[in-house]
Order: sequence, then structure tokens, then C-alpha cells
Amino acid sequence: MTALELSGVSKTFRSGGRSIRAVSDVSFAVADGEAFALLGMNGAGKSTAIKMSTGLIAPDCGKISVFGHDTVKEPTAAKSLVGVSPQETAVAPMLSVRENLEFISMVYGADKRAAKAAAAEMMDRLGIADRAKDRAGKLSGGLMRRLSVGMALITEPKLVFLDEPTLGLDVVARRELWRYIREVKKTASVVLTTHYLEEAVALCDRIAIMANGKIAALGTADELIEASGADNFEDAFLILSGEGEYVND
Amino acid sequence: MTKAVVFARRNILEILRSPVSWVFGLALPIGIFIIMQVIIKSLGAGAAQVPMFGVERFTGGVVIFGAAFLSLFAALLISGDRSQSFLARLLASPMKAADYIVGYTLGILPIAGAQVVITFCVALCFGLTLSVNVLPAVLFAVLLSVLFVAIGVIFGSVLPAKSAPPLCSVVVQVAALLSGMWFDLDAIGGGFDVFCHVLPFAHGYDLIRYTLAGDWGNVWLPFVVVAVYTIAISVVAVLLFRRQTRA
Ligand SMILES: Nc1ncnc2c1ncn2[C@@H]1O[C@H](COP(=O)(O)OP(=O)(O)O)[C@@H](O)[C@H]1O
Ligand SMILES: [Mg+2]
Repeated sequence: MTALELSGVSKTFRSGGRSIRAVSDVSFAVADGEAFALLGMNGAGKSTAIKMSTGLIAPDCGKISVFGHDTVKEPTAAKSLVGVSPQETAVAPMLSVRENLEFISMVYGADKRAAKAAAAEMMDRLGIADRAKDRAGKLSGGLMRRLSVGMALITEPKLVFLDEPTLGLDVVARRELWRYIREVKKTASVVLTTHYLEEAVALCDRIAIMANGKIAALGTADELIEASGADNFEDAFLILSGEGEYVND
Repeated sequence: MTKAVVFARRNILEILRSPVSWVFGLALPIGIFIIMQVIIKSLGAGAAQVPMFGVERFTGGVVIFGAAFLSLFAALLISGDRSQSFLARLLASPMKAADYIVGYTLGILPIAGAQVVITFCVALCFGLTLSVNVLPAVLFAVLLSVLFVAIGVIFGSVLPAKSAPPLCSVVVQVAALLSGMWFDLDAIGGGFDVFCHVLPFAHGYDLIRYTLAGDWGNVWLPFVVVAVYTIAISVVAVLLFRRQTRA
């Protein structure tokens, strides 16, 4: 079974007379149970690819399906299988940590009782149980991001999108979240975006390098190193994403 | 439908937990009302010279003033949800278009209702006659609330979180100014009076004060104008919200 499939997907933004081709003829498939990284610099088109995959914006052309459900033709079926943690930490600022988790759980159809239980369990797993009553808007960046990831996972989705889940986290918080993402991998397919090389390597089975809206290369870390002819992943990334000139110094 | 109710509950909490709501939604309109009434009362017999601020008429003004702030709540809530990607998260959930509309509406209307009821209770304390006219006046006040919430939805849907609230507070002030609550539009007359009566705010003010006075012959025109504006602006608000969010 394929968890996510993009075929020939493009998206152009028009703003103030300029047009930006954010995603350009992108195709890839993520297998059920796979952890997949979209790795690229700022502006490479990673978030746009995720927004299209989660049904937030429609692709100009091409087709996206989630476990066989077309995201444009059967949005509700596709959306109910998906959890998403947007790049900007998306929490309800005036609700407490617990209320945020319960709210999302209920939006996906849980009753009050099930939502309470799920929220309690999620807070334990994320190590934020002691902050249950704190307003989400008052949390530190790291805790807010953990809550945001928790809100993506509380509905037990079969496919999870994590858009730059560790952006702005300190080393300790990042490693802790890694550990948790590895847990999640056991029960769901994961698509995560990052511009940290080591994060993609550490967490994901396969890596797609995005540059200028295109998939510049796709494979396991070893395959990418081999394809680039470099001897480490950092150089491989720079070569494959078209920034190779820096390598030669 | 239950998703809409869950969302409405969140919206109510979000509004009630923000101090801005209490300051602008309750303290400011009620405060102005009380201050004006205390001044009028202290003028004694001289008060007859300022019928504008007599309790029957000024209640209409404060209802408009209070309702206008509801547009600020709607704009704050929706522009905030958009900019913080909270809405993005919901749009990726199985919520449907109607759930957002119903959820935002059900989230703000109970607060509007409470505001109206409290305003009238305070007015009654200051000598507003408790008659059968109060009930339709309350209902019309809720209608005005819907009008302003719809205006707020438009601002919140179209503008970013930084500019939606300040621009909306400008609308609040303009609406209050052009409603005729502070000066007698009849006395000014001319083009300004006509201009004010092209917009719905002066009609809203008239609607409440004529209703409270039991002057039914004068109620129907402002009622029709306010109702038509409310329906039209609500339709535009729903269309714009859906266009901006692809809900
Ligand atoms: N809503 C939008 N309107 C206009 N341009 C956009 C919009 N969203 C993204 N872009 C542009 O599309 C490109 C890709 O953006 P994005 O997908 O956010 O990249 P990434 O997540 O890889 O940093 C960038 O040049 C960005 O400025
Ligand atoms: Mg991004």
C-alpha cells in the first residue's frame, strides 16, 4: 500500500505581478510505514508540497493521493487519515495544553471521554503532563512545538506530516523530539521536512532533496552519497541540490 | 454538526479568556453609558436640554457602540487563526465549510447576546421603562450584532493579523460616529445626514430608539435597511472567508 503519492504536481503562486513556481512537476511515493524526508533550503518548496498533500491548497496540475484517496476529489476521506504539524506552531493560544489536545481529538470525531484519555496519554508521551493547565500561548518555543506535534499525532493518523518539527529547538529538545518521532514511525508513515541534514539521515528511510521546486535527488542516504560521488552526506547534499560550487573550495 | 459545536466552544473560550474582550465588549460601552447617565442625572432639570443623552435614546447608541466592538472580536479571532496557522491545521482536518461558519457564529453570538442583555439591564437600572418594547429592542440589537460580526469576519478573512484589528477598530469608531449617537443627525441635516443614512449604522441607532419609544410607524424603514445590510454583508463574509481559506 502507498501512503502518499504525488504525480506530476506543480504549483505557481502569483503575487503582485510576479509569479513564483514553488513546486515544479514533482513526483514521488511514500510507502506505508516509511519515514520520508523532504530536505532542502528555505524556499525550496517543501511547505508548499506539504500544504498540497494535506489539502490546504490545490495543485495547479498533477494528482495527489493519500492511501488511494485523491486529495481533491475525496478530501474528507484523505484528511481523516492524516495528521499535520504546520511549520508555524499552530496552537490555540488561550486554551491550555490539555484543552488544545482534547479539542483536536474531538474535531476528528472522538467523544469527550475518549478525548480526555487520549490527551492525558499524549501529554505523558511528550513529557508535558506537568504543563497540562498552562495556556498554550504562554509556552516556550520548544514546548509549543512539542504540543503542536502532539496535536498532529493525537488522532492516531496513518500518515503524519511534520513541517520542520525541530525548527528553533535547542539540542536537548531536538533529540527528545527525535526519540518521539522514532516512536511514531512504528505506527504511522511519516513525511517530515527539514533543512538539517543529520535530522533527515537520523530519522528517515529515504530522503528527497528539493531545490527550486523540483526533486533534485531521491534515495537512501547511502544511495545519495553514491549518486553524487561525494564521500559524505553534506557534500552529497550540496552537489545534488545544485550548490556544488561550495564543495570545491 | 458536533464538530461545529466543539469549534464554537473553543472560540467562546478564546474570546472570554482575552482581557481585550472584557474591556471593549463590556467595560467600555457600559462605562460610557453609566458616565453619561450620571452626568445627565446630575444636571437635573437642565437634562431636558440634551434629549440625545436621555436614557431611552442613548440606549440605542450604546447598543450600536457595543455591537460594533463585536466586529473587532471576530476580526481578532479569525485573522489570528489564519496567521498562526491554527486555521491551517483545522483546514487539514475533516471539518467542513459549514462547521467553520457555524462554529465562528455560535462562538460569538452568545457573547453578543450576553452583552445586549447586560446593556439593557444597566439601562433599566438607570430608568429605562420596562415595557413590552424592550423585548423587540433586544432582538433588533442581536440583529445588529450579526451585522457587525459579519463585518469583522470580512476584515479577519482578508487582512493579516497585524492590520485587521486596528482597521476594525477604526470601523467601530466610524460606525459609532455616523450612527448619530453623539450628535443629532436631523439637526445637522444636509449631505452628511443623507450620507449617514445610506450606511446602516444610523438606521441601527434609529431602530433601537424608535422601538424602545414604541414609535412603530418609524421602525419599519430602519429595520428593512438593517436587515438587508445584515444579509448582504453576511453573504459576502461567508464567500470571502471561503475564498481566502478554501474551506
Ligand atoms: N502563499 C504564497 N504566495 C506567494 N508565494 C509563496 C506562497 N507560499 C510560498 N511561496 C513561495 O514559494 C516558494 C516555496 O516556499 P515554501 O514551500 O514555503 O518553501 P520551504 O518550505 O521549502 O522553505 C518560496 O519562494 C516562497 O516565497
Ligand atoms: Mg517551509
